[in-house]
Amino acid sequence: MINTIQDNHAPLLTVTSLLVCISVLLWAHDHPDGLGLFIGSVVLFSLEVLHWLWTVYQQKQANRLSSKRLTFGIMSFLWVVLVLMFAYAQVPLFHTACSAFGFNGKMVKHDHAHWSVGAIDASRTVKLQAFAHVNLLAPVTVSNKNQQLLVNPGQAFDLSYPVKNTTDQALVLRSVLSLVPSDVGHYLHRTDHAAELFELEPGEEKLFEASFILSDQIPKSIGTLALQFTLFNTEGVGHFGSSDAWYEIRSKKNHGVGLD
Amino acid sequence: MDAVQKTRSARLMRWVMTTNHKDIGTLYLWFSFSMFLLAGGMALLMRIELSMPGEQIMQPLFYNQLVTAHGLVMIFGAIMPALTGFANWQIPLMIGASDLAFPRLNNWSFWLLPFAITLLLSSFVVGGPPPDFGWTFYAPLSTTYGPPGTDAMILAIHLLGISSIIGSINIIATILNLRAPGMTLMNMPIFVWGWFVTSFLILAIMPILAATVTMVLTDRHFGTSFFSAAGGGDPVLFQHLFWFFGHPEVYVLAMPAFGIISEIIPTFSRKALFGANCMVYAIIAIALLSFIVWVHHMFTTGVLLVTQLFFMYTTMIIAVPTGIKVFNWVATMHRGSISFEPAMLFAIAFVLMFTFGGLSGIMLSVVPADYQYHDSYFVVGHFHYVIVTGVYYALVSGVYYWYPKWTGRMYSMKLANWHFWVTTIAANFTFMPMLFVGLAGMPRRIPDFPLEFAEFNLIASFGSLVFGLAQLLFGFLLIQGLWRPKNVSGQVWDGAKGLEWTISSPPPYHSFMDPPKVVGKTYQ
Ligand SMILES: [Cu+2]
Repeated sequence: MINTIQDNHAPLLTVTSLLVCISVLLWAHDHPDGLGLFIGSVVLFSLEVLHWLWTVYQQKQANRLSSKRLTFGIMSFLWVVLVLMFAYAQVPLFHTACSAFGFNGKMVKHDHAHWSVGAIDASRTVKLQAFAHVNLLAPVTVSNKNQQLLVNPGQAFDLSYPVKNTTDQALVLRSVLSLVPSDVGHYLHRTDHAAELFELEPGEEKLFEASFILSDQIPKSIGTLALQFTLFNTEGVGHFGSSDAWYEIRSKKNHGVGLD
Repeated sequence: MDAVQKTRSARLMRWVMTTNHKDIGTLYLWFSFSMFLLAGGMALLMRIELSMPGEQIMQPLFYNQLVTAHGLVMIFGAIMPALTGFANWQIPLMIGASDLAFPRLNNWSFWLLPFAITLLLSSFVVGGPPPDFGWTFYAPLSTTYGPPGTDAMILAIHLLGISSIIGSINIIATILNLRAPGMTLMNMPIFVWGWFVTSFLILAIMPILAATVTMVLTDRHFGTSFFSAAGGGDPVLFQHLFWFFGHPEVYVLAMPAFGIISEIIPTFSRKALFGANCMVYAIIAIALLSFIVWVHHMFTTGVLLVTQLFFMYTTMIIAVPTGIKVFNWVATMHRGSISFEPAMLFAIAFVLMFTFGGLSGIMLSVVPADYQYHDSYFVVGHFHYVIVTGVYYALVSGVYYWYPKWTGRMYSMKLANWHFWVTTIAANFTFMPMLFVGLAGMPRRIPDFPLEFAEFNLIASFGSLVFGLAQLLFGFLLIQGLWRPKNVSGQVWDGAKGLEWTISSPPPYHSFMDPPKVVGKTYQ
């Protein structure tokens, strides 16, 4: 089996796939014709792939390619697609696992009917350290960032933080709650039903509030638990990391603005 | 004049269009060696910067860019292509096939590489600044805070992924379909087994990496929030995806290296490989285990205690099959008539220092200890013991072993011995101090350090310069060897067993056009 080089599609496949990459780069960096170039290069690449498959088909017709190898090629391609889908499937699976099992320091989604709050167990207290943290990109200030309270198991408690918008624009913040130890989410119940998003008018100062019940089922081994809210700016989410945004962040960093 | 130009362009086109496994193997090997020198040069710049406390020759940002480029180019441009080069040359020769199963795809998987690496490094010249967050490109460093050059890196990783996926499909198809009669799966040389299992690993993890970098790209520019907490995503998810790829990736590098060592030690011990079947089972066991250990890179991200324990134990269990391999190599040498050719010297040093690197990995797998060691120079030292004195040593050993087979010429043994001793002493001077300063608390990925770490860093920097010079000597002796007489026999080494030694050195351009008949076991 000596292989002839006439039907070698590799150089054209290489060049066209490189074109696709470059066009994605231009498109991502807001080149005016980026999308057009991307579509064009994808068409070129697909044509080259079709051309190549046509050669493969002809080889098959001429009995220069065994069906075993052809089937193997097709199976491996399907396998790669499957693994790609598997990777994307991890996104919902991860979030589901976090809220079901309390992985990753997240609150566990309780079935309210089964959430039992017994009597307050006055015999012991749990030291609760509550923190508020402002993400680098959120132009707000928070007072009363570090709070510490002693809570009896079964007891309800509230946290509140005055948050001030330091800009002259309306802001939408997202609060993300994280817990340590990371499986303590089983024993906390949030009762305020507040949305994750928190809106602020230009220059407005408002209380960010959250209410919880600490379960009386909390194991005796947990004497201290830490709870942190991080406030993120949702503005421009989805366009983060564009070159403009990057320079903005760098210059902010350099001037110390926005640093917590 | 015209005719000369014609042959010149024909000669060039031969390398561009070639579908011959030996040509493509040669391309892979020279390409990977040049990338090794390039990324090694970056390492030396970093070591010069770290030779003394304070800023020496570069800005901190440039240092971070070098850290990133060094890691990515070494892993995707030097080590993986070098191993694929060995696969190209050796797998057909060792299983009695005339070529790989898909020779044209083979050409494509090589020629994607130079373009991919060019794209990867392009942001040092245009569209920068280049990425500055380390080869692990954690979100949000690569998403929210990633510099513009990140996008070129992402697309380069796509191309590199396509290249290695195609290469793996090719190797699996070759091994399954093109073995000579009598070459049963369990009869295959361990090097072929190593690559066989590695190919499956690549097929299982490269698409995960491709999906992850695509998520980073769309998070950056196309309105998604997979890893952005502000948009409801989670940066920890990035680490899970990355390390689900990243840990098996280490075995992608290590398994073919194990295979090379398993060929060389029996040859120069003049004994059959001890427990050849066990070696195969150990490779498969390591491959399977490598999928359930990834969280050991994330012990400090706030995972559950029970999760930490699970991943600590699975990580420790990997030491069992790895220990079996080390035991078998040592048992092969036991009471053998050993000779110390350069290939064997590197192989023995591999067994010692890879084990040392592996044991430092066991230290890192212990959760409470990892809380201290993680993100310190200890990790850098551990990793480089595994990859440099492990995988790189196996590669060098393999080159010294098969170079006479590939070229028909013998390199200068004297220079090769010099290469071994200088490299080995320098490597330990480079990486041992990294373990010390790491244990003493020096963080990794920083361009400067407190005064108390000055001595050990100077030693490491000095060691790395000597190490680099020794690798230039390696390149020199390989090229010089091409001008030495073509007088090597087909057998080359008197203890060597296997199909590749039954044909001439160098083998004919198209070898095993008629499949050889394999009788009995390859190793006995
Ligand atoms: Cu790992």
